[in-house]
Amino acid sequence: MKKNIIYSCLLAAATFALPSCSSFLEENPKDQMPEEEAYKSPELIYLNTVANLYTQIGATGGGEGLAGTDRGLYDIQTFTNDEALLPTRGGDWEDGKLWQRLYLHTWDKSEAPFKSVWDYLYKVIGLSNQSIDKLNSLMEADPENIYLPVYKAEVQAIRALYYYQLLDCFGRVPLVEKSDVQISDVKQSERSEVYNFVRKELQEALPYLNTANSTKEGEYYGRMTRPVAFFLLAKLALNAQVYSDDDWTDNGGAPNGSTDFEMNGQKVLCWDAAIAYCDSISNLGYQLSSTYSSNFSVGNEKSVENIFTIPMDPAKYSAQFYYIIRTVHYAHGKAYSIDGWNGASASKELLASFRKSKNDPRLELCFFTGKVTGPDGAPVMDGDKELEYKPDAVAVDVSGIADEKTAGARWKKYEIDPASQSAGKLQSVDFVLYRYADVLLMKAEAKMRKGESGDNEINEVRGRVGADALSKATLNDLLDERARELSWEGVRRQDLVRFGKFCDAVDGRPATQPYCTVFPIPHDVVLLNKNLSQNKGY
Amino acid sequence: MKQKIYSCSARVSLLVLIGLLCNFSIFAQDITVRGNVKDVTGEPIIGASVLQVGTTNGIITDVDGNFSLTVPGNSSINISYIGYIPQTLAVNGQTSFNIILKEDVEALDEVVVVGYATGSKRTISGAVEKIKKEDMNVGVVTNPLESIKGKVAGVVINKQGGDPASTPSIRVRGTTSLSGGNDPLVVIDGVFGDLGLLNALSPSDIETFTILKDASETAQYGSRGASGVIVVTTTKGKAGAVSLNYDGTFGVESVYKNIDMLNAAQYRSAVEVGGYVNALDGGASTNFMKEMQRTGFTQNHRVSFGAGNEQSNYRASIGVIAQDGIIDGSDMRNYTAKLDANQRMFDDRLKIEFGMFGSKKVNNYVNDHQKTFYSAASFNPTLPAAQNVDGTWPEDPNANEIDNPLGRLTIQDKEDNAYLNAHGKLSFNFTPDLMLSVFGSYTYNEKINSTYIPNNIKAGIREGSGKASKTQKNSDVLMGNITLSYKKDFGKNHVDVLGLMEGQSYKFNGFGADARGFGTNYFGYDNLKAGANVKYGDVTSYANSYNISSFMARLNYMFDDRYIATVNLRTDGSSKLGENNKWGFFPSASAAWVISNEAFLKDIEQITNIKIRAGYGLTGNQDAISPYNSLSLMQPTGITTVNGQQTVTYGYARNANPDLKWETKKMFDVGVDFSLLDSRISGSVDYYNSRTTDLLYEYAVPVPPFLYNKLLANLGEMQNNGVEIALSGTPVQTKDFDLKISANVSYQKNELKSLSGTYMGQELSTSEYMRLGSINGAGFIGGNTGVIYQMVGQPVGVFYLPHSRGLVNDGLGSYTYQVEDLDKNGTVDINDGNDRYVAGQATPKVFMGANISMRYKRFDLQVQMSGAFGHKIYNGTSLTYMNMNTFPTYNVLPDAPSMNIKDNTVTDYWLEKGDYVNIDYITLGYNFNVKKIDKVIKNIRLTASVNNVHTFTNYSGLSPMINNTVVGSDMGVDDKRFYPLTRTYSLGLNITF
Repeated sequence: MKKNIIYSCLLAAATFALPSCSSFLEENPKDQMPEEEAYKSPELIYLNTVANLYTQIGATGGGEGLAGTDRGLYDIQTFTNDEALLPTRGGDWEDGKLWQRLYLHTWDKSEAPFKSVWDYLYKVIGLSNQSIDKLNSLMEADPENIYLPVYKAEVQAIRALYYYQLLDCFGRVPLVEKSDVQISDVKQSERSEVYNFVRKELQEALPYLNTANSTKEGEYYGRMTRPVAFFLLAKLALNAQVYSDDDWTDNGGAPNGSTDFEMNGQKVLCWDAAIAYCDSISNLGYQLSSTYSSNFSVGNEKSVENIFTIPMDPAKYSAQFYYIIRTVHYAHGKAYSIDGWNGASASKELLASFRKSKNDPRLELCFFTGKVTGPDGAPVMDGDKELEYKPDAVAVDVSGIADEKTAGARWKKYEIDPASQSAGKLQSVDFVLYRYADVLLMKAEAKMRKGESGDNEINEVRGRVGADALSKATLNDLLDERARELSWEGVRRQDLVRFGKFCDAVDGRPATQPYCTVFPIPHDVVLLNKNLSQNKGY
Repeated sequence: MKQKIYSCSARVSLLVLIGLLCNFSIFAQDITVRGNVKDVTGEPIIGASVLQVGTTNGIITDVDGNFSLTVPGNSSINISYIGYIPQTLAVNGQTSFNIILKEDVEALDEVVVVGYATGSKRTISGAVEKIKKEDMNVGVVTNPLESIKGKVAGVVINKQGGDPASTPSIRVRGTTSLSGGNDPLVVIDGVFGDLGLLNALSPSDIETFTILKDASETAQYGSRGASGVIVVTTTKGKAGAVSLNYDGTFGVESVYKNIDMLNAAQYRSAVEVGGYVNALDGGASTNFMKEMQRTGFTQNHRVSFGAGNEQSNYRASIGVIAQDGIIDGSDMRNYTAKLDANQRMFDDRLKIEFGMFGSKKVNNYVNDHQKTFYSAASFNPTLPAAQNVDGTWPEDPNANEIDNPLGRLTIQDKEDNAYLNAHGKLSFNFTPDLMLSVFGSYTYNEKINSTYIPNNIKAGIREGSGKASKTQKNSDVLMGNITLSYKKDFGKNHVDVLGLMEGQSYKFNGFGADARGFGTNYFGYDNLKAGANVKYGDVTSYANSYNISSFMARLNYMFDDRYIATVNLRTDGSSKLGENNKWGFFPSASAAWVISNEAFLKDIEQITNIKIRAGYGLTGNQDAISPYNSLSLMQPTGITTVNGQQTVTYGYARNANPDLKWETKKMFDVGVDFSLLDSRISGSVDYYNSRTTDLLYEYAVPVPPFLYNKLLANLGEMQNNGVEIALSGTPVQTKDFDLKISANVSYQKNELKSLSGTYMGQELSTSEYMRLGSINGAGFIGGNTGVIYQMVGQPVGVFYLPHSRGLVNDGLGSYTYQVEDLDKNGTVDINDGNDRYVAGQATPKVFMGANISMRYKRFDLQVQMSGAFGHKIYNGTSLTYMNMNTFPTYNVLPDAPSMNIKDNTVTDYWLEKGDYVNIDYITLGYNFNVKKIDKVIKNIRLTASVNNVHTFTNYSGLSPMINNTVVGSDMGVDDKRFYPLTRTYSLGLNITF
């Protein structure tokens, strides 16, 4: 070897007259940097252990992102339940019957969206593990540093947020907490273990997290702050019976796990814990916005209701938003100079839920249900006639019917940003992940599950849009209210599972088996790691 | 750039010219000898060189084979011509000579450049194939590779459709690697390059191609030689002749086969009969495919000139190839320039060789073939061909997956690709046997891609009012080597030893920018500042480099012209590989037995030559590895807000693999070369077997623990074997009439043996079904549309499909493909691993090439054919265009409404046999009897050719000549992207002064 190097020196000198020849076979990267460079100053440490995780929350495609770009997390949470459909429209949206399988609960274990969601969630967990390992070693070297533990807590909470998604979708998943792990060390944990891990991690991080509102522009914009962690803990507590249930195929699909919840070192009733976390959020000053739409319109950074959002701005960030494009008709999109993929539509169940609510404007606030106008106020034309959506013509497959292209009510919850770019995928309305209306409804539900009335909270939510108040609302009323208030916000599947109704028959789909309440571990992952086993039923 | 090359080379050539002219020395001598040179059939040999021995005094014979030269009465003259045995005659005062040159039928002593060594074909023990100028393809040849298409067994060259901008692909003995590095190494006069660099030469400047196929010879190139080596020698100046040559063709191109969809009348009637209420009728009748077309033309001109004597010579050449495709706006221009100068000094002890070549190629592409041709075929034929009054183009708003094809043609998509190479070699003979040579070369390449999508077409509106992009990529490649060689004959022993040190340095850098939001289309891509929106990530740049260092020893030994052995030992170090795996050792050995020189065969007159060869060698491959792949490095990962400021964060962009090492190919070859009956019949047969181990591939790895689901690693194994047969015969050879037939056939079998192994103590195995390509288009997005796969135990590129039991009426009058429940589990599930089976392979099992050439007096005729057999093609075009589910939004084939298939499930229904025989060209040539015209002109040849004459096939799609050799998403899949088939009629002129 040494000889070779000497020869190569001779050669290099003879042929190229290189200044330094011993480095002839050494690499000196120019457009990529060695790890040391990334942690040279306190600013860089924050940037490359914490801030780098936030670039992963939004996404530019490939089914990634917490909002899920096309065919990601959002889609498996939304198109598998009773609120939304992507009807097959002749040749459009046939897509190998993917959308039909999602709606009909006949998905296969090798369905691509499951794999992309899994890979995405674990990628961010892997990045978080790298950050935590790095921060641990920095803390060892500099025990006095007061910022490092705060950074670490923030990363821990972000990682918990991602494990929470895995817990909700796949149930039994491996808990990986370090970056230098071998395949053989990656072993599955039961759902209850994952749930306890997420709870413990969030509770540990809580005191370090800043109480700032993360949806406001400024230092904490888009970040994991204490209210976000409270929100996640409230969700965990409310779903405790689901998440602590390691066999979800029994009991007809109704969750029958424990109602115990560990909080401040004590075992409390999960409903009490949920209420406590909801109250903690209220105490930080969150409230309902005066108008429903202002949470979803340009400038929604000012919303007093939103708790956790993905910052979006066509000029500043690359996070993309697909859901208006994917729903509106071609001509409708064209009128707004954005794409129209003419797809996603409200289900008959969701329409019925809206219609039975008295004086409730939310159907019109959230969906295009008939003729529509362009930005200039003129009717949108479909060829030579006015475009008119047909909400009630919706079905799994509308191919060949007269309303093939217009069947279904289309989503309009988010304002179409007139300054959007990339055909509408880049726009400036921040994507809402969590908001205070959900907190109120969670609190109502927890109270009702304890036998108390949830009317106050429910009616606070209803009152904001002017809908008639309910009295002595039942849990079913509450579930309906959640459907209306939080339609297409990615919470419906979790709600239905918690109520034991996810597998009930819906329009065009007979009742399905309880194993469907948890998605399959992506088939490829099971094949590549022999330690892992498939979820029951798949 | 182009002008720069020209002016630069012109200046240099002028200097060289002046220098050489000063050297010319013509002395008045004693006597003038005249003579005539003929071949054995009595035909005059034109252009034979007649030289006074030991001087530069010489001349070449005219069209009648006559010469006249003034020499001292006591001198000797040497008469030589390529392919003939030279003769030396003493003048002895004689003034008239009648010389008959015998054809060098054995052609064994022809100089062959085998890697670094220059030897005679006699001493070669490996599988080496040489194609001389006269054996290259004629007709319209716009790319050097086209001149050897179909000529060599085991070398598959494929060009699809009539797109002037597309370049042919090449595979030597099939695919042996999964990720990159399957293109052969190109060596032009000692300069290492790729297929792009080959394009920097005018095809007419190439003197010979030598193809090294088996590892016993390619191992000389170590890590660069794994996929075969094409050694190109270019035409150089010749001693004793001043020449000027023009070579040109002009051709007209027209479409001879197109996809015909429903025309407007048929479309309207199908709408009416089918009762489609939502059909859009634009009131016009348009054939969009026709609207996009024009008559194409192709031109190729090259002028070369040169002169020289025994001490020095030079040659310069400039050329241009211009093609306008049959699709509006698609064209190609390739300007080439080349200059060579050689000089000998110090009693011929020092030889200086210098060469420069450069090119500028400009392509105007049809942007996104699939989108454009899919749009052209399925666009609503009732829409008008003209623009709307507001400048936009008519669109069917429901046809989301296609755009107005005429609008698409206004997309500007240009590529400027410039190469410049300079190389030089100094060879010094210490003794006649011992030579030291130093070689150095520099290659610069700059490629600029410019695209503009106008703001008034659908694609441009979608981008936010137009999009302009510009990317520039540069590469600087330096290479140099020092060789010491020793050649000696000791009695019956011939020894040739060579030692080499070599260094290669590759530097790449580039820059790219996008802008969107254009108020006007005036600027196109020429002023990015006119675009209002530039976002994070729209501006990028990169820089990387790698180096290779090598040492080699070669021994070639021959005993008594009967036994030959060659051993190569080469070691390569690459900077791209992991710290502990930088060096790879690539030895090879081969042996040959010239059985015809044995006593027991020597006297059999019918046998001219029989040589039996066997060889074994190792080669390496590292092309799949990008620089820095073995290191854990950080890159920008995105933009986020930090303290309210937009900030870029950094992270690991991939799973690093510090263990990356050489992919190694071991190849065994055994063969026989023979020529019989005075070489009237000759040929060769080869069998080879190769095994690639430590296969570099982006393996699917589990997340977690990996961050990303792909890891570049050395794991799997691949095997190839095959048989190659080449035969050529000259049944008739008379004064007035020659007939020569040559053909080659190759059979190849490929199998992916394994894709699993141990990586850092962890067992890795990749997914069982690796999808290479699927069908695209409306209704296919994200479905189970996989067609072509990579699977262990199968050849690379197999069709893995559901089985259709045939069309079945679904009860509503329409038909579906009725997928069979192959796994008999009671449900039909077409996901991978379920109701699918391996239905055939994409790569042909057998390739053939054939050439028939005949000459009658001054006329000659050549027919070249090629064919491929034993493979299948997935007709995704018909699957899409027969699907009535998408009608009337998307137009369909004329048969579609009556067959009424309402299904686009990918099944084996549209998997068809791909066998074909294609008549590549027919050329008729005429050599003028120039003496009747002008004494100055040495040669005039006129040709008329037809390219793409006919394809014999049962394949129902447009053409079976799709990509079936290059592993990729379009391998074996005919999916709406085919450029219409064109036929070219051309005239060619070659004139030499």
